[in-house]
Amino acid sequence: MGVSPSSKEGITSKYLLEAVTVTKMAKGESSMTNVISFEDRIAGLRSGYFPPSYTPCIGDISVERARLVTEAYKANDGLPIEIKRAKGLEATLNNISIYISDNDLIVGNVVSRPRSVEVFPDIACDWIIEEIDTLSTREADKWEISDADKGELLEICKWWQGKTMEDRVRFLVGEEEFGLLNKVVFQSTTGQSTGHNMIIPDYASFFKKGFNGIIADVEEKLKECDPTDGNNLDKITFYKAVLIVAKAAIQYGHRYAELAREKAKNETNAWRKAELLQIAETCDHIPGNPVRNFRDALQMVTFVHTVQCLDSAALANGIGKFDSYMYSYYKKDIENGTLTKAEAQELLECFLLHFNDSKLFWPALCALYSAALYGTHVLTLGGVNEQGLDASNELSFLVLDCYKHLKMAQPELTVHMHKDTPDEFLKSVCELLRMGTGHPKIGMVETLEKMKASEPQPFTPVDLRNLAWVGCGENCVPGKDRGGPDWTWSTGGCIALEMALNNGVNRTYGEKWGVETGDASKFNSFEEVMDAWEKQTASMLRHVVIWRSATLRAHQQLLPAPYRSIFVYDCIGRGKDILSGGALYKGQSGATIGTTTTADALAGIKKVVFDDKKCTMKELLDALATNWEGKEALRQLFVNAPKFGNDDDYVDLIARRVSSFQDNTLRSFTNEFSGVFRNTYVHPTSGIPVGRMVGATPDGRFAGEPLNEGGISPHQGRDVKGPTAVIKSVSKIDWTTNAGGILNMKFSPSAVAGEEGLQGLMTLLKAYNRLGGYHVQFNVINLETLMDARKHPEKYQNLIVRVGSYCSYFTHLSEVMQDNIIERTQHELVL
Amino acid sequence: MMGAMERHVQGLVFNIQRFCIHDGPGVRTTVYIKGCSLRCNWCSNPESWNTFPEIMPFDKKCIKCGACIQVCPNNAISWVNGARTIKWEECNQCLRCSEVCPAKAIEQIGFNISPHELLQEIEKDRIFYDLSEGGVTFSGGEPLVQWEFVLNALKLCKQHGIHTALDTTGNIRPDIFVQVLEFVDLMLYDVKHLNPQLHIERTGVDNQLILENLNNVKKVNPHTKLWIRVPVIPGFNDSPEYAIDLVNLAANTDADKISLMPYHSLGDHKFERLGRTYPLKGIPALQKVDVEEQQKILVNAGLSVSIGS
Repeated sequence: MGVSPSSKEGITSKYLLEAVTVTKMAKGESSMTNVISFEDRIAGLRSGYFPPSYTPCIGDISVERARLVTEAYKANDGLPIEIKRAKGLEATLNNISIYISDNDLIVGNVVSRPRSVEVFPDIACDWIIEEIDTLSTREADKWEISDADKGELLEICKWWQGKTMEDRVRFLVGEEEFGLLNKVVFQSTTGQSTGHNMIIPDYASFFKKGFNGIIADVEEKLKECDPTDGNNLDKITFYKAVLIVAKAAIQYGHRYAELAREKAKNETNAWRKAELLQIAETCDHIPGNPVRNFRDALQMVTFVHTVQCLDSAALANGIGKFDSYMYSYYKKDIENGTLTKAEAQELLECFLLHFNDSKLFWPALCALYSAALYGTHVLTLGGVNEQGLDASNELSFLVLDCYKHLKMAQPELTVHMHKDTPDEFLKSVCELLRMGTGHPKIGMVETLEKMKASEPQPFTPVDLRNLAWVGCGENCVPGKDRGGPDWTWSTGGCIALEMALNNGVNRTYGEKWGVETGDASKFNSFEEVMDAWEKQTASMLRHVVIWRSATLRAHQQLLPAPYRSIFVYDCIGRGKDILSGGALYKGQSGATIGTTTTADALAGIKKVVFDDKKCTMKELLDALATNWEGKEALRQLFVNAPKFGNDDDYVDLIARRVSSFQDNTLRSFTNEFSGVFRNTYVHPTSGIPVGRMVGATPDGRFAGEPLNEGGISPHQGRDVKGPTAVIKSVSKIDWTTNAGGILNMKFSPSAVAGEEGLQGLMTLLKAYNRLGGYHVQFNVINLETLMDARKHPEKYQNLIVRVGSYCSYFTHLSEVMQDNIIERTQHELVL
Repeated sequence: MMGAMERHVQGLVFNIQRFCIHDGPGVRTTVYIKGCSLRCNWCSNPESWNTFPEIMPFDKKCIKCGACIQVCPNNAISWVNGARTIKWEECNQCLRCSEVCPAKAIEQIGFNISPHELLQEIEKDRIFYDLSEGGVTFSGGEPLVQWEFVLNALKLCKQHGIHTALDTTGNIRPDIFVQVLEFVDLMLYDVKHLNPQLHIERTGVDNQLILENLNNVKKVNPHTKLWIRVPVIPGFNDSPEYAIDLVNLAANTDADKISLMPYHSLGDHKFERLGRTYPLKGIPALQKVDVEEQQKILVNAGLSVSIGS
């Protein structure tokens, strides 16, 4: 099924053939020359990303980065924070262990050894100290750590105690608020264990400069700064920090060049020796200098992205509109005969594999929210060009072929679809979709543009067309958006509803988190319920804003980002850090959880209590208080009330009302840069842990059961009218008031088999586009496969499923989450 | 005047299935009409047979609340070994049990709907039809058992520019068939067997009307597409020789396509839930490969053939 070029075609590189001959002649000997075939190379590299045999652990902890940064902080204690950050990154790039995998053509790794993960105690360290003994036994994302490393890491963390970004947030909001935040803004710990992320560098511009170009620009800027003006002193500090990291990045490239030459010396296969020398040549040039060709461009993106990940523990980062900015280099090389299509595919696959290095080391609770989320790196294809015309090209198809062949989880692939996306391209996309690798997700250009245009910031039409995917469900303008250090998952509508029904008290904790909205047993109409829900929601979202503001401030104070400022306009021009006003666009986003479950629950009250009058509010509240104990018949009335996802206005319009209220409440706040607070419906698996905090709800759900997964997807198993109904329900959400949301749909392969199945998928996507949908992704998997994978994980190491909004390996998921995936509605055909 | 229309305006439908991609071209909504004049013993929709609403229990959903037992006027439901059990010979399909069941563990099969209400349901997926050249398919049961309702619904769909398909056994008076034909863009015409005796044995009816109507499709309405659908049943019509009969049939009727529908046993559990016995118990489902020889013969004769759709 995979699409790979014939190996014959792969050996036409004139450069390599010449190089091999030269090497042989220089040595005056007939050293062996084994051509490395495309299939062998990729299969070998690919297998390196999986543990050798099945183990419950993803990999092991590396202390290198934590050690190097800590030492740099200690050595530069008296210097400004910007310089300390820069020195920390410099120390990392100069000293972290590097390696080149056998037969790899692209180099640069975000880890110091395969299948490991680096630690960022500078962001938060209390959780590491608390959880260090349970890392290999926790529910999701298990890690190994050697005893020696454990001891060192504990020492490092103890040094950081009181100095981290999390400690600063705690100080800024005060102890009482901090305690509440960790419940109401449920995953505040995520924001406190991952750093600034969700940016996309402007690769097109950077390719023309390289870091030397940046250094020249900055040195020019420094000359302009008159130090008699006190305001300029901050700029000068910022510029100095940028110079440190830009030079360190160039040096990092040279280290790989040196390593490649070293390896070449000992290489007996003349063919590989020539490849290694070519890598060395590339890495002496890149990332310091402008990109010359396709290979340089791939190496440049790898270095820039790798350093970005070493600098900040990133939940998600974008690679941008890849086929658009890469195409000219590809075309030029193909036209002048220095590159064949097959060589391009081989290089591309080596390049793409590198993104599977990246893992995220975070608290057990966060792992449960987004298990096996290894840091999302998102590559965007298709969409429109700056003139608004279709942007797909030959390279777009080639990248799809790579994905069909590689079947790896990263980088996440997003295809931007618009009303004029050519059928031929859409068909290739759907062929990849139904292979069941989870790639790609589909974003709708028109809705994206409308969404951004509704923000108060002045996005230019060209910027809107340049939008690319940056996270699970978010998008941004490459090189212009400031990204998000202050991402949140707030517990959302169901928690608010519970408080609306309990006068502000959370039932599970028995604590008052909300405001007093009165005795719900006396509510006489559905509107009174909605009114109470809105008040509780507004009170909760205020805490979200408090958290986001404090987190942004803590980042500005403790984790400034000179490296990332290089790639986002107009930090260099303004002499300001990306986090402190350097970037052009400065909105903030975060997600609310369980929105469709909330809509189902509200619809249950409306239908059973107020429309059908089958029970009173009092009876309902009593049943909820006892978790439906002895009230099964009553519960069934709520189970069978209208549910979101079935194209039923009764509940779909409640969902719209719920989402719009959440969106608009957040939008009523602006941040210090006049950017709005945006809501999203992007929460991969967070419905599980938040569900544990919520008592029984009037949709028939028992206490502790998961809320809906995947953002705006129907609650698992409740969408019974098929995929067209789901698409129509989700299209009723107002996508202009928020910053996006994810819809997850699952199909068994039989449902999308054959030409009919392919056309069916294409029709669903086209209709979703026309209806103004935002995002959709498909799981094409059969139930038997999943059940078997639960029983025999060893047989299914490579089984990729969509977990909410990202791809991961089924066997890496906790049992609860595996069940959750299995439970989701199978869109079987009627027989 | 109104009275006469009103009498026929309601139809009895037992399912409206959206996103059907194997019941004609494009994305379609399939409307399942209740009632059938045939009793094919491989039937996969036995709940469609009767022209009245009836109950179909779903034991897994039962919460054992006993509401059905209390409400049954005929004492047809009782506890047997802790499970709610229906004595079918006592049941007169009054439907009260399904009305009171809070868990929907006794489903009511068949609900009344007017052509206009039905059109509203069909219109819900209009955008999907438009983008895929799909439409509506009337199936059953035998939709023409309620031919007045179906005729009204077909007319309405045509008026609203929706492509119509009719999945029929063709076992209906020819004058009625011709009336309906005018509003059908695509006939999905089920042919079980050409031998009258075998046809009676396995479906309970003679095939004379069926073949007569089939012959009329293209003669009366040349613009109607005709797809002959053959449920391929083991030991009944799965021989290569029968495929040759089909070649002739397709030629004589000017059919546009032959669809081979390999037998599957999904009707089995439905028979059980309805308190009936499945006649083909134990006969394994046919695989795609089992109909490949027939397919080859049909293809070699220059016919357009599909399997399972």
